[in-house]
Amino acid sequence: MRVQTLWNLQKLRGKYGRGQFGKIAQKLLALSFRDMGYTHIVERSTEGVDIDIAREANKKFALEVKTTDGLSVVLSADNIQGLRERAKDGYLPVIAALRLAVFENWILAGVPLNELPTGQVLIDRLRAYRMSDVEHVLGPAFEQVAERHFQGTLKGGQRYLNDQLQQTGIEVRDL
Amino acid sequence: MLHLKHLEVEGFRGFPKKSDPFEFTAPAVLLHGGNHQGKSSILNAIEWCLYGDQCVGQKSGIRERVGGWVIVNRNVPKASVKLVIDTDKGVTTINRAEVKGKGRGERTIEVELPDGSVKKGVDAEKEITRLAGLSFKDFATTVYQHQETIHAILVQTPSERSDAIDRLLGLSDYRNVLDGIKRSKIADVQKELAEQFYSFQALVEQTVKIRQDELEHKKEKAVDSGLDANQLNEHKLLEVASDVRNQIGKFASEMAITAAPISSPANWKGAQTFTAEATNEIERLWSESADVKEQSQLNSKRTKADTIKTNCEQQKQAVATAEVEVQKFEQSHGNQEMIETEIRATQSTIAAVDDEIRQVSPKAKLVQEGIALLEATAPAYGTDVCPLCGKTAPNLLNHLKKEWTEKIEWQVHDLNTRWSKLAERKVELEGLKAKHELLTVDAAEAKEQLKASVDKAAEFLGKELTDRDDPIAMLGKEIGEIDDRIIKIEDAIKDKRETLDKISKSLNRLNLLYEVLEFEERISGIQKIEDTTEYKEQNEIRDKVAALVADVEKVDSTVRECMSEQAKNKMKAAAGAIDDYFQKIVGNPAIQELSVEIEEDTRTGGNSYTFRDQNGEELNPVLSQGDLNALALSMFLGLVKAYSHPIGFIMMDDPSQSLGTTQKKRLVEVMDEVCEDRNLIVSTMDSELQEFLQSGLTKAKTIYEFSNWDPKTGPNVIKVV
Repeated sequence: MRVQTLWNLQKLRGKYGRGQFGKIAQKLLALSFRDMGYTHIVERSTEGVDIDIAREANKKFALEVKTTDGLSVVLSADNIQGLRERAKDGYLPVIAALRLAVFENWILAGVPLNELPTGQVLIDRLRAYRMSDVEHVLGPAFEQVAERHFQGTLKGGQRYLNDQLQQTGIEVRDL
Repeated sequence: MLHLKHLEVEGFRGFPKKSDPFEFTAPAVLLHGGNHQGKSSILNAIEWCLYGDQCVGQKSGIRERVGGWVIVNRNVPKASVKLVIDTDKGVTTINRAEVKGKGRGERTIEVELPDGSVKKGVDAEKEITRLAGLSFKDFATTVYQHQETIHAILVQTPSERSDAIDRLLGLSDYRNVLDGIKRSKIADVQKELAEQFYSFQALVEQTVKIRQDELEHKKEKAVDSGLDANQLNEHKLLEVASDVRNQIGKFASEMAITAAPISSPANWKGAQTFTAEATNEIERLWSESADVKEQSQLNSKRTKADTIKTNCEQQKQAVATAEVEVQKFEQSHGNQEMIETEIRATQSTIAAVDDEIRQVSPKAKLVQEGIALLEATAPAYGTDVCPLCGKTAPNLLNHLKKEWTEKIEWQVHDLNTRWSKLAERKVELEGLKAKHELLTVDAAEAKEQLKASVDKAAEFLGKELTDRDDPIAMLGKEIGEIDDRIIKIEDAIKDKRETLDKISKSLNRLNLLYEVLEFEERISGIQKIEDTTEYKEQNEIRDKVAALVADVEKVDSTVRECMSEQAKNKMKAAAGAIDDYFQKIVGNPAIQELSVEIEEDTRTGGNSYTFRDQNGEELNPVLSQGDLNALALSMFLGLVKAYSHPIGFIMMDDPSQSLGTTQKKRLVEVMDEVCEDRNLIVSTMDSELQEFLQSGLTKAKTIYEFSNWDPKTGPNVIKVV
C-alpha cells in the first residue's frame, strides 16, 4: 500500500475511530471488488459475513473483514459461523485482513472450512492461505478506490460510502 | 507360535559372568528373589536378543531406558546373549553380542536356523523379525509388562498417568511426534518473525512521520509565499519557472541588454539548475546596467571625497592647536629672543658674583671646587690623593672641609647663596628655551601635513589651491553635488529594483515548490523498499513459514486424531477383557463394570483417559493404589487377550507392586487363566505372590531363586524344580 493511501486511511480512522473505520475499510474493499469486475456484491454492516462477492458460478467468496494495528486479528465464533452459513450457498470462506502499517496490503486468506481458526489469530498465520492472484489485482484497485473516495468519506463517512455502494450496484444490507 | 526354550547370558547387565542356561519350556517360569538380584536382567536379555537396539534408548518408548541404560556389564568388555527358541519350523538359536567401545560399541547378531544355516547382521535381524512376527511396540504392550508400566500408572499425576496409558497402548510414537511439535515452538518462531518485521515497519513509519512533518512545514511556507495549497505540484513549478524566464527576458529588454539564454526545466528536478542560472543572469544584468554602474562610481567618489575632507579638517585643527600652544607659551615666558637675552644677563651676573667671592677669599673657589672634586673621585682614588697632581696628601678631604668650615665659609656665605639662585635661574631659562623650540617644531610639522591634505584636495578637485581657497568648503560642496546625483540615480533604478524583487519572489516560490516535491519524492522513495529483492525475499520467507506452520498444525491435528482413534480401537477391542480382569483382581462390589472414556487432552496433546463405573461415575479419584495397579495389569492382560500374535509367552516384571494379599491371589487366578494360552514368565521380589504363584498356578512350573548378587560375579541362581 502506498504511503499516501496509508495516511489517508489513518486520517479516516483518526476522524471516525476504530469501530467505524473497520466498516469504512470494509465498504472501500467492497467498492474495490466492484472495480475488479465482481458482478454480485453484497455488503453487510451488522449481521452475517461482511461481504459476499461473486463473478462466475465458481468464483463465489464470503469475506470476513478485519483491520488492525497489531500482530493479530480476532475471529469470533460468530464470524466463523457466518462463514460456514455462507459456505452452504457455495461461497468459499475468506478472511480479509489489513494491518494499518507501511508496506501492508490486504491479505485474502481462503481458509478451508475445517481449518478456520478462532480467537486471536496472528495475521502471518493467514499467509498460508493467501489468494495471491486476487490480492495482486486487489492491491492497486483498493489504492484507487481509497484515493477516489477519500475526500467524500472524510466528509460524509459511512453514509457517503453507502451511497457510492448503491450507485455502483452493490447491495447494502442492514442500512 | 514362538516359544522360548532356554537362555544363556554373559556380561549382560546384572550378569558379569556366564550364567547357567535358563530353561523356559515349562508353562510357567518364576524368577524370584530380592531387589537388584538380576531377575529383570533375564527378561531384558530375552527382549534385547529378539529386538536389539529397538529396545534401547528413546526409541524404546520406555522412559527408564532413555540415557544411561547399559547393555554391557560395567566390569566386563562384552555382553552376549544366546536365546534358543522353538517355532513351527523348528529350533532356532539367536546369538546377540555387543562389545564396549565408543558410543554403543561393536554389535553382532547371528541366527542359526533349524536347517543349520546361519544368518548374520541385517539378514539375521530380518529373520528374527519374521520369526517373532510382532513389532517391538506390540511386544512391549502385549508380551512384556514392564515395571515402569505399573509404576507410572501408580505414582504419576493424572496427565502423566494418561501418558503412561498411552505408552501401555503402544502410542508412544504419536506422543513423541506431538512432543517434538510442541518443543519446536514453530508458532512462536512465526510470531517472533512477524514482530521483527513489525519493528522494522515501526521504524519506517517513524521516518515517514518525521519527513511528513517536514513536508507539512515546507507546504506551509509555500502557501505563505502566495502559492495555492492545491497547486503544490510539478505543473505549478514549471509554470513559475516559465514566468521567471519571461520576467528576466523583459528585464533585460528594459535595460537594453541582450539576455543570455536560460533553459526551462524539463521537470521539477531541473528547478535547482534553473534557479542557479536565473540568479546568475539577474546578477549579470544588474551589474551591466548604466545607472547601476554610475551609482557604483558615484558611491566610490563620494567615499573618497569624504575621506580627503575629513583629513583636511583634522590637519587644520592640528595646526590651530599647535599655534595656540606657542602663543600661550610666549605669553607666559616670552619669545625665543627674550629668553635668550635673559640667559645671557644671568650668566654675566654669575660671573660678577664669582669675582666678588675671589675678592673676599681668594681660596674660597679653589677649596670649594677641591672638596667637590675629592668627593666625586673618592670611590676611585680615595680621599688622600690629590686628583689634579696625583700626590698623596693624608686627610686631604677632611683638611679642605675643615679649612672651608673654619676659615672660608663665614666670609662668602651671602655671596654663595646669591650665586646658587642665579645658577638655578639660568637652568630654568635654558629649559624654557628648549620647550619653545619644541612647540615651534610641532606647529611647523602640523602645517606641513595640512599642506599635504590640501594638495590631495587640489588633486581630487582638479585645480590648484591657494591660501585664498578653503579646501574643506570646496570638498563639502563637491560631496553635496555627488549626493544629489546619487539620489537622482536611485529614483531612476527604483523601478528596476522592484522588477528584480518580483523575480526574486518568483524564484523563492520556485524553490519552495522544489523542496515540497523533493520531500514528497523522498517519502515515496520509502515505498520503493517494497520493490527490493530483500523485501520480496522476506515476504516469501514469511509465506513459507506460514505454510510450514499450517502444515505442522495439520500434522499435529492428524497425529492427535490417529492417536485418539487407535487408543479407542485398542480399548474397544480389549474393553471386555479389561473389565473382566479388573473385576476379578479388584473384587470391589461397588464397581460392577469398568468403562473407559478417551478424550483429547488439549494441554498435553495426548489422550486423556477417564475410567467410569456402571453408573457413569468417574473412578479416577476413588481408585486406590492397589486398584490402579490392578487396572494397569488388567489393561496389559486385556490387550494380551484381545490381540492374537505369534509369541507363545508373556513376561510380567514385578506385577504386584501395590496389591493386597487378596488381590494378589486373584491376580494369580487370572494369570492361571492366561497360562492356558501362553507360557508365563514372572519376575517378582514379592514372596507372598511367589507363594501364591507356586500354589495357585495349575500348570507345571520352573522356579529360579536369585540371591547374593555380587558386582563381579553376578547373582547366585538356583533352579528349583
